[in-house]
Amino acid sequence: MSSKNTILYNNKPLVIIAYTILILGTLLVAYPILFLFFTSLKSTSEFYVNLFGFPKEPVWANYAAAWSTGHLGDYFFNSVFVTVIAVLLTTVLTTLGGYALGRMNLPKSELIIMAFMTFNFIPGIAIYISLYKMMASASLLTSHAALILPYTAWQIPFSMYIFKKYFETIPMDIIESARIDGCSELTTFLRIVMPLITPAVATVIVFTFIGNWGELMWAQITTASSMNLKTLPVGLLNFKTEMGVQWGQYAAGLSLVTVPLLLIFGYFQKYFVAGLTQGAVKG
Amino acid sequence: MASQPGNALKRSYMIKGFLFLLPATLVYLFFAVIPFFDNLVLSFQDWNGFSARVFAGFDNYLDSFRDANFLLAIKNSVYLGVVSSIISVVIGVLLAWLLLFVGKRSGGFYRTILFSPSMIPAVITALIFSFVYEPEIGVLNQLLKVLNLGTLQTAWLTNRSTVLNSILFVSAWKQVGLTMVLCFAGMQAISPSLLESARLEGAGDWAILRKIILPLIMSFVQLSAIFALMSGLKIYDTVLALTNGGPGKFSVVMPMWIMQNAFSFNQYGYGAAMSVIFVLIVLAGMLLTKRLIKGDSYEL
Repeated sequence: MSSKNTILYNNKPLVIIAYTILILGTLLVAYPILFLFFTSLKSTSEFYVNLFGFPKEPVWANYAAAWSTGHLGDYFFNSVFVTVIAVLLTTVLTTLGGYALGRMNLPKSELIIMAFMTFNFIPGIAIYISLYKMMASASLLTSHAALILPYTAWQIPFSMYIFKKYFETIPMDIIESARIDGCSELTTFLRIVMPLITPAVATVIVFTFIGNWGELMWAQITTASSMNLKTLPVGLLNFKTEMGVQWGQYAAGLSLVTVPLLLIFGYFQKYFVAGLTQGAVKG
Repeated sequence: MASQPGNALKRSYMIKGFLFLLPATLVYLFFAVIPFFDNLVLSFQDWNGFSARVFAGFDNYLDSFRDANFLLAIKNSVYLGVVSSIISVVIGVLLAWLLLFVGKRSGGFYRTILFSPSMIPAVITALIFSFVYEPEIGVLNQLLKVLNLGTLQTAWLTNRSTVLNSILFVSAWKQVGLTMVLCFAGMQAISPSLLESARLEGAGDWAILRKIILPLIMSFVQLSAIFALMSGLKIYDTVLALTNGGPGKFSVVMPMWIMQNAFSFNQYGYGAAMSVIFVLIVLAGMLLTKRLIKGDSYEL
């Protein structure tokens, strides 16, 4: 069969309705983002006379102005630094943990991962108050570690769950023959098993990246006193007041953060979806 | 009976297994589990953040039920959670179903666009919508003017009768794509021959959706309902960026009021008690959703 869905094509009116609704829905989702991009290229005077459409004379200078007056460079550096390190740490910790739970005869491994996952549903604010005081007494609040360590921790349950599921698809024979050949457990893990799970690594990286990149509440709490740690979500929130009615520059700042994200993750979307559906597939 | 060396080997893997699991567990204990239990203790104490923590019994909990703002925050968070999950499940399932009727390539295009808000941080989507709702130059009011519906114009985020639903719209706008993608994945897992034989027996498309597709994707519907309910109940970024809880305290939500009490008013014990109530509400919501939408797994 050429396409899975062929048998559903015969209902002509329904096909027309389907296209109409999907196109309208797509417009409703895409337009606010397009509007942001259009506005980012308009001068303030053009914004007032040409609200909806494409800019007639694109003002690319808005981007440079937003970058410098909005301190976006500093926020950007902080966000990249914190996110990248936390993502790497989570990935290392949870590949090890997921392998142990999936393929190393641990008793009650199902119960352990369920405990992690259940805890994961607890709203952050029920953790932040005590954690803030703990971090303060450990004098960690003025360093990037105040963001990196908790971000690493909070992504552990879901990532470990994905890795556990994925490791379980790798036949025990492969692992056991490596063990019999005299490989240490760490060598088996690094040389034999890890190369087989690159799709899961991609899923976890995309997932944890998105989670950390947009985190606002904890970043607000920790950076309230130390300006130089502010990440993009915190910075952009203040950005609006700093920009006043410089609509073009304001929009340029927002699209600087949004457009690259959409381009990158538009491409990696399948990994994101793969991770989410793991939770619904019979396991 | 298993041989002795086999058992010894098994035990040695088990010990190594614990070592592999230990780093992740320690990090998680330190930055999530321990603070959570300390927060639980704190909820029975009075603490301004500097002096000693003093036992206060159930005072913080009793106070919270007399706190009109907290009760309003519960009402708003529950409203946003319940309604946005219903909206996103109904629309998400509908869109996923409609995707079955369009060509593969155009379907993939619609899917990518509809899903894209899920990948943008909530604070940014909310800031984009503050453009849309702006009373003077906002897209929504200007559009109404162009359509000759000027009488419907209003200050969406400061008018008490529109503010909550304006927030709700942004939340659903962001969530629908996720539900759609999840449910579409469920529908793709259904064997085409099953749908074909139903069609040959004369079942209409609507009947196929209700009798075959929906029962088979229930575990996906359950999962997306839980995701949507959680993101609605815990909503903070979106409300902060759109209204900051205003007008007055009219659109305040649970995490926001707890944050203010703890970190602005230095009432850490009180904040902790409200956060424990918040946890209970979130857990109840999750269990209730699991109950209401039975996600039995089927052999697909």
